[in-house]
Amino acid sequence: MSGSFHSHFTPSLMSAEALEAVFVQRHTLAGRLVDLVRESTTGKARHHSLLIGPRGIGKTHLISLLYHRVVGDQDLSSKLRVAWLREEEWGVSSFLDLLLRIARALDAEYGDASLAAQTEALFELSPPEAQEAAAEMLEAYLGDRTLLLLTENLDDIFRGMGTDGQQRLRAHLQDNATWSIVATSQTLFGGVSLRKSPFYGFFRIQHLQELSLEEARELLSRIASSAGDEDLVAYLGTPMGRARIRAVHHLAGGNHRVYVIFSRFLTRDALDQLVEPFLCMLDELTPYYQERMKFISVQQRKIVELLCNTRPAIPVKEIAKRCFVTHQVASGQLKQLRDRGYVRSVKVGRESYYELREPLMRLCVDVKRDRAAPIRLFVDFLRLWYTRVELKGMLEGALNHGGLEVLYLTAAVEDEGESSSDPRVDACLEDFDNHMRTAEFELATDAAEELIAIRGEAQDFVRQSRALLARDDIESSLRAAEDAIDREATLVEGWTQLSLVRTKQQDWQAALKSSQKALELAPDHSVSLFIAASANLLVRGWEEGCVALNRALQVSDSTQANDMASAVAVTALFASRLLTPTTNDAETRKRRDEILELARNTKREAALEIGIGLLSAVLVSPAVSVETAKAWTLLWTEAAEAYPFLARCIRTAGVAYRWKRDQERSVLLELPAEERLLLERTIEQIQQRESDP
Amino acid sequence: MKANPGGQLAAHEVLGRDDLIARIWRSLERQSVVLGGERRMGKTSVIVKMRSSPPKGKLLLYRDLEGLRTPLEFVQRVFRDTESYLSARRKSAERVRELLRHLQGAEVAKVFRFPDSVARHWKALLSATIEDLVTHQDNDVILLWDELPLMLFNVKETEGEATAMELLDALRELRQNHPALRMVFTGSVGLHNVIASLKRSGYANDPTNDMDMIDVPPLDHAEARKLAIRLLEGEGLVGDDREELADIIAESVDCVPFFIHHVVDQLVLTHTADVDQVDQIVSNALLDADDRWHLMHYRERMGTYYESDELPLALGLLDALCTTDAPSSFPELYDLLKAQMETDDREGVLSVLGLLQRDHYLSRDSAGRFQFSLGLIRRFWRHHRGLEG
Repeated sequence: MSGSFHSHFTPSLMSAEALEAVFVQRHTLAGRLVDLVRESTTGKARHHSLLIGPRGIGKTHLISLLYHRVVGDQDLSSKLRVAWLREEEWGVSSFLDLLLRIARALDAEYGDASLAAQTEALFELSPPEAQEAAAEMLEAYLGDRTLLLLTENLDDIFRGMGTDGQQRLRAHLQDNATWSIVATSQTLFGGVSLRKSPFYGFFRIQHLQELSLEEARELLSRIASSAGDEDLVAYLGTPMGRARIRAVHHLAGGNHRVYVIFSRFLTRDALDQLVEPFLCMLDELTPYYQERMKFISVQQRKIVELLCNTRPAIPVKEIAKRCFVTHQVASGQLKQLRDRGYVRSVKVGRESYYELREPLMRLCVDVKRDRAAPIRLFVDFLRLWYTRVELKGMLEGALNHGGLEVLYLTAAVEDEGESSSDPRVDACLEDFDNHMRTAEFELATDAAEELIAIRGEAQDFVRQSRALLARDDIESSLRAAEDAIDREATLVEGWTQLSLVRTKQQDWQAALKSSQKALELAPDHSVSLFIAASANLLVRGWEEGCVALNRALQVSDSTQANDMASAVAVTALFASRLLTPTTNDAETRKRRDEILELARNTKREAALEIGIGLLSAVLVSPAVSVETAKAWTLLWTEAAEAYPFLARCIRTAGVAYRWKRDQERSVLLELPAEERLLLERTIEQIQQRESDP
Repeated sequence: MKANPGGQLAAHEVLGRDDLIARIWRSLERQSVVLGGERRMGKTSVIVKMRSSPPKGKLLLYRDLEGLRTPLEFVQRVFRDTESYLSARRKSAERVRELLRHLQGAEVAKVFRFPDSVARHWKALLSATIEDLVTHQDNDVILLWDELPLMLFNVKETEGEATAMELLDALRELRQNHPALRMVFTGSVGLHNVIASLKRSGYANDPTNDMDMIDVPPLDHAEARKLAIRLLEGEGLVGDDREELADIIAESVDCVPFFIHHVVDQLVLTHTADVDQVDQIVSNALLDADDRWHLMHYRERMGTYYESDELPLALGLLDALCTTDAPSSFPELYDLLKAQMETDDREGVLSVLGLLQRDHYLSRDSAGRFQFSLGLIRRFWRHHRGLEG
């Protein structure tokens, strides 16, 4: 088998090149496994690995890849013999059976006539004699070489062999030390995890992780590249492409196999191109999920079936009630289902809620439903694939033609009305917040753009603008804020964001206008009040600015967001008036005291501290002279006795001033690490700007 | 040398056991040995090293017995090992052949497998086999039998307790009849556990009282550190100061080689070699739902090997000791126990303390005070029993 053929269910049929081309996430592990095989062939040490993961997680892919890497390595392959027992090695019920399968696999791999003849002769012996003879035959065949046994579903094989077979295998390995095993299993099983088992603690156990969204993107991109589909590669980088990957991610729950199958739909836009292949795919996947259902106990199937029928996650007590089992039994069964990758749990307070890990599992239930009813999964899929507007538009168009499409579109539009929750939107929102929190603004921009692609609400443009502003892409941020207002002229957050962008542009007139617009819509909106205060101060002067700031401080609660906003305002205040003080400037001192008093009266010392701290860091900027920095430091040092909370910002200001004066990096070490970081980052940014052409 | 947790080590990779092995050889000059020790402590590795370089004048025959279920299978296995050794020297086990001829009434050309008809004569066949082995060469014979307790357990299950007892007695008799013959018994299940279960069925003998009991302990710190350094080097891990890192690794897992291999293996997969990561790996292992370090067996096996009246005492004692930072004398420990459960069974508590020592949960310091044998197990116990606070 060669080229880029992709088998959805049997990666072992794929070529080495195809396997490597679409291999993601596990490069370290694959390299490690090859290293361990190498070490098992060069000395007396023997390594044994067991890879654990649910069906479709990529176990066979990894084993196939390992096989190709090993046999493709001339040096390595001469020192070992590989017996690869495929997934379908049913019927191993004894150690003798295992030995026979290995002999057959060796024969298939190396075509040794003598081995085949000796194997045939074993059938003339009694089972105990045959076992002894088979073991000796294999050892003689190996000679000085190592046997690399690649085997899937080790749990099935061990179960079939029973304790007796396992003990005989273990004894054989101990006696001969010529085998190295790399095996897989869907879950941990008694044969390796129970203390009394012969193979307890024997294997190096590696749990395979499901794909993250980013890894899924890489996988799909690799599949597209490997198929020479450059258009698809480009499409995957677009917000809509990413949104669709997220849709698959929701349905697939990190399962490699499902991504591979879905890869063919990613660029389909027209519904008529989608319906038939999608339903075909469901047909293709149905036996797979049905088989997964067979793998679990009846009681567990009952739970999975219940979860298939109930879309939101449900608590254990509800599951217990609906399955007529005790809470304890339900918990035990759910734990096993979670370990096997069927369900996932979310803890809310003291309660654990469970849902399907792969919503596609619903196929098992859907196929049993009334055939005339639309398959719910496809309805779900349509909801994930298209925006609300698109769905409605398509339904209107399809009504003229009738047929299957109308049935599905109607169900999808109706579902859309019933449920306001879109899992992709939830995931994007979570990603956006996380990325903003961790200052990964590029990824936050991606998440905002995905949101725009999925639903395009005005709030999504605000998010895009926030992320872009954080990246200093002011022009794009401005456009996004304006887009938000274009979509929803009464969106307070849109106007506030616009005013923030204007502030960054130092267009105080425009900032004032936008913030006032926001305040017309929501008179007590804290952030807008602070922005308006800053802008007022700069546009209309000190008196009006102070009045506005006073109002902002009176109205707003002391939340973190408001404190930061007030810090920005205070910073702006001082930036405007106090960054060019002279130590003899009585007016400057008077204003300083007014601000300090205002902060004390409104219990905003913390906000003021942040603001002054931030501004102190700015002293390192070339725009501020050494004299100004010195004056600034003195200004606050004077006040520190009456206002002890100023101690920290004075420290920052003092160090910033001395760094500015001496240009000695060692000066920075006077600050504790967390304060030093801020200053260092500011210095780096300044130096970066200076070095940029 | 790469990390190999649970796998099979080459003899040269077994570090830090030279003194122990020398002691075993010395002991074998006088008597046979039961090689004991906590599971995963490295007994099999010690055997690997012993097999690789036996002293001059010693014939060492190794066999893992865990797949065997009847005395006849066992004898046949010993016979095949004997034949294999003798045939390489152009000799054969004539006494066994003669006996088989006598028992079957016919000539035996190639003995591949003993017929079931001779099963009840297994003792005679075993005796003849050992006779053939001992008399056909000048070396002292050492039979190194791994997983002998498991085989005894299998025999007990398959043929009954009486047969298992007979087998133990037969082995003792062989040692008495052949003063130069030595046996080394070892295994993942303690031999004392199997004998204890036989005693509960009326077995009165002490079948290993002629043997020296030697436990495989953790490595000493210097050797554990050396092992960690070798593994870090072998894996090409570059990061924090290697020697310091090795120190931390050794200390964090009480110098148990199995866990040292595990820690380094994890470091490889995370591409890191720093001290914080070691701490993280050990903490994760203690809380690992999949129990990849197999620590749960310290709790699970108690249900198997402790009687129903012993179990609550054992759990209570371990619970009490895991929360005290310093070793405890018996009166202190007894008081701690009584604070959490109602008991006046002083003798019973002393007896269970003995079992806990024999099963490697506890040890005693030079002042006779009790403590957990391994700090790692103490930490695990605290987590597992919810006694962290």
